Amino acid sequence: MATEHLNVPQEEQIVRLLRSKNPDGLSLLYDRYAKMMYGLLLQMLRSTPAAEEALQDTLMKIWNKAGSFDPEKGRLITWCLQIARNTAIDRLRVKRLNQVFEPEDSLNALQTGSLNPETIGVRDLLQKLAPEHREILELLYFQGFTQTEAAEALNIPLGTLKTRCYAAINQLGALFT
Amino acid sequence: MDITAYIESGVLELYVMDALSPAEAGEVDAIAARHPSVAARIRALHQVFIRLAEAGAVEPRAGLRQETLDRVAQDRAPDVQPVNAPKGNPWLLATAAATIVVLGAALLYRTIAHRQTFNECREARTALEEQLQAQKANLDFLLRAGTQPIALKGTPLAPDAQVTVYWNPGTQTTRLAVSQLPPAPSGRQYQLWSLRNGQPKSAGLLSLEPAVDLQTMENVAEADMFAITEEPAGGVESPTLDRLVAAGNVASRSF
Repeated sequence: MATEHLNVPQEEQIVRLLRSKNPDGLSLLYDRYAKMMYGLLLQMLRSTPAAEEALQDTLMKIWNKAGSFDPEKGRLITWCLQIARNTAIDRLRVKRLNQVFEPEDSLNALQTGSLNPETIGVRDLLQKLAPEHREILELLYFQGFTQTEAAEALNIPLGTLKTRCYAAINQLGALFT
Repeated sequence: MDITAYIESGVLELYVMDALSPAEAGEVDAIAARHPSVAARIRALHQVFIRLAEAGAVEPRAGLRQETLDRVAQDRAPDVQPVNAPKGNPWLLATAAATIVVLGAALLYRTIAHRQTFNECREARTALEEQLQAQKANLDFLLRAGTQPIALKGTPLAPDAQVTVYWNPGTQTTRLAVSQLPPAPSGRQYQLWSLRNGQPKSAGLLSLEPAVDLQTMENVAEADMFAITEEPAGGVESPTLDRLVAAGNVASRSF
């Protein structure tokens, strides 16, 4: 398994340190997970300064909210990635509210490949997906569209969106096996 | 509840991507708590996104680590500074130090609590804004010139079925409201068809979720009739006519 290096005992240690408000917990977390969160933020925000700022905000939130992390509900890295995504989605929403709402823009960006060159690894990976599956991931995961917004943007019924969503993540998961 | 159909419905994928409304996500939480296979599927899906984040990992520039840790350190309540060579009453100093620690901790706690409340309010507002936007879009569509309702009546297969298709031939936009429709059997899904001179064309699958009020279907250019059939989940190319559950004619319009 490629994820074995994200070993669970170290996650537990980081959680203990963060809960006791020991800054070493944040340093350890940064060393272990910052590059995953930063890669995700770059992919979502497509700008280095915005991704750097969002990474700082994310770590601030992780530090402040560590008490509410519940290991029963999932892994620390999942929780961290969710906080990073929400931070980026808040920024994207503000951006969208300030512009005319143009969901097509994200699709165009995806098709013309105007993504950050640093995120080429994940873009190559996404290229292996069927186009309609890539679209789903781009809108729902990387752009934070709700299911209703995504169905509208793609002009497909919610039922079709759900069916496609299941197939998309299945295909993505298969790339890692 | 058919758990396999539920797992394959796509709702869990939407859940892990945070694309559901808070109410729908709460429903998934409740079902996952009762069904270990659903909880296991959610864990597996989270794992896919961990792998995706690993694949897309990018090393931030070297200086960012220290800048970030410094920023968090600055935001923390100031630590008690060591007091140099205490000359006064050591008890008084100790009491003062303890008071500062207690006040500092209380202040930190309040700041954190306020920030959490603020973030929760902001998240709730975003969710409401989305709902409002969706409702506005629905209302705009319903009030737009040319949008017409087409009542679909149940067939003997589903005599009580009541579905209304809202269609705007100008924009070709098609939406659908289910007033009454029996739940599709396990592994099956309802599919909408537009018919023109008896020729059916798929207008998309109906959502498996009962809560959806007005569903957006595929655009329809021409139709003199709409019909719903029950098909294998995922839909089919051409309708299975003996599984027709509801149908209705488009009112002929005088031009």
